[in-house]
Amino acid sequence: MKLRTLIVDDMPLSRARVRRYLSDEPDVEVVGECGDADTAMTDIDRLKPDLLMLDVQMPGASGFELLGRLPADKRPAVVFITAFEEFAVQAFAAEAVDYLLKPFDHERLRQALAKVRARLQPRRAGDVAARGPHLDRIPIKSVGRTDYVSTSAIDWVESAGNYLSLHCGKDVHLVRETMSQFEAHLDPKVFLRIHRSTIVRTDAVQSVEPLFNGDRSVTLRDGTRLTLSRSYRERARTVLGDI
Amino acid sequence: MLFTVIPWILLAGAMLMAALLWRDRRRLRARLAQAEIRRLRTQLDPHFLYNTLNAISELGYNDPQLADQVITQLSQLLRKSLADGEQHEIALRDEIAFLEHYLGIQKVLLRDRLQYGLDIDPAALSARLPGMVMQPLAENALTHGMSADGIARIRIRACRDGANLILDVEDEGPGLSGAGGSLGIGLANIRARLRHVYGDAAVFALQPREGGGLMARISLPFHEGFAFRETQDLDRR
Repeated sequence: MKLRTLIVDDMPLSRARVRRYLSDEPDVEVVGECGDADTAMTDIDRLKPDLLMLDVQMPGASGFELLGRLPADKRPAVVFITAFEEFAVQAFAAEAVDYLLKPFDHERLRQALAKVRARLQPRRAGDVAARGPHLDRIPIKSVGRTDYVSTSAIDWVESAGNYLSLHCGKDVHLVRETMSQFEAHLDPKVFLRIHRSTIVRTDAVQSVEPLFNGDRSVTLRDGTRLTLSRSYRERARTVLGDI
Repeated sequence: MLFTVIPWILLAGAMLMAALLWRDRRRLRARLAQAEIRRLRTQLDPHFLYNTLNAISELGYNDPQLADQVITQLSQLLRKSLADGEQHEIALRDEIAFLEHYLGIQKVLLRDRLQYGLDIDPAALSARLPGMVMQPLAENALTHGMSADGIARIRIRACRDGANLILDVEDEGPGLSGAGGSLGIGLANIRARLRHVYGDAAVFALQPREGGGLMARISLPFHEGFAFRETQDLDRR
């Protein structure tokens, strides 16, 4: 259940910035970007995004006019991204989920996404069945043959350059994949992303201790110590309780 | 008894008056400071500033050289817009440099949605004019003067026409109807400033451009080297 996102902003660099931030989010898929409301209308119709990252001032129609033209049932969740403070009231009247003032930092965007997820939860609960199947085993390709590792044997996953290291007991396997692609293979009830470069099997977690600045230290049953970064804490709480 | 009290009452009254006057003066000063801030706001749009900062923060990741260049241009713009007083006249050369920094940054922000050209008569480069009268015209052209294909095409001209300095900013947008007939505070500000310095000797007009679009034209007395009022004094001698 990816959050399919369309970026609508007339400034290319501003779109690039949002896109780069979103690329760090495993459950967000940027399905397109455009620079004006007319193109956005067509893109929304064609791509049916869950979320619009929407600028206010654009050539031609504004972000508000765009929303006005969309029938209520076709309206994605909206996060405004703008340099203008003065439209905030109007934005929330139009049921925007959040309102980001440019320039905003990564953390502020994450907060907005957390709100979006919360807003979309009831609507998406019914989609669970439609979600792509999670893999029971992971193919490990080497020259001339493919080995399989059972997903339930994976204790934790760490990113290492262009590869991921799958730690399974004493064994380590390398797969060439990105963190977010790999995370999509895994059942979120079994595995938990705790860091930009770390996923753990929640069963393997022995204990969690606070570190400074909101991070947490996670100790696995085999003694491995990992860091749970602040930005993933909110999601981890739903699995690991109040940590 | 009464005579000993009266001076005290008078003294208390005088102190109260002084306090009130002092308060009024402080209020007036605060109001003047606010007026100054408002003046700046009409000159460089704060949203332009935020959008530029937003762009720089992205360029930092993938094009540090361009980020560097935009920071330098922005610094030059800020230095000028924070330093120049309203009545301060500057040379056309400096006004054009300012415009080039401004349009250079806008080009980074808007990329292919902005095309512009400058056509400046070298003989006019030393002419004096009030600083930052052209930038609001360029800003107006690129926000309201887009063609139907979404591209703002702007041409800026400056030349000497006899006793006058002529400054034109043209776009190929929808013309006056596109601006809804309203001038906006930036343009109203230009008119007020020109009137303040040159009286009836300066003309500021918006007119349809030949072939479609809008032409903003400022015509003001051509003079070099001295402030305008001083030049008039010299003429009289």
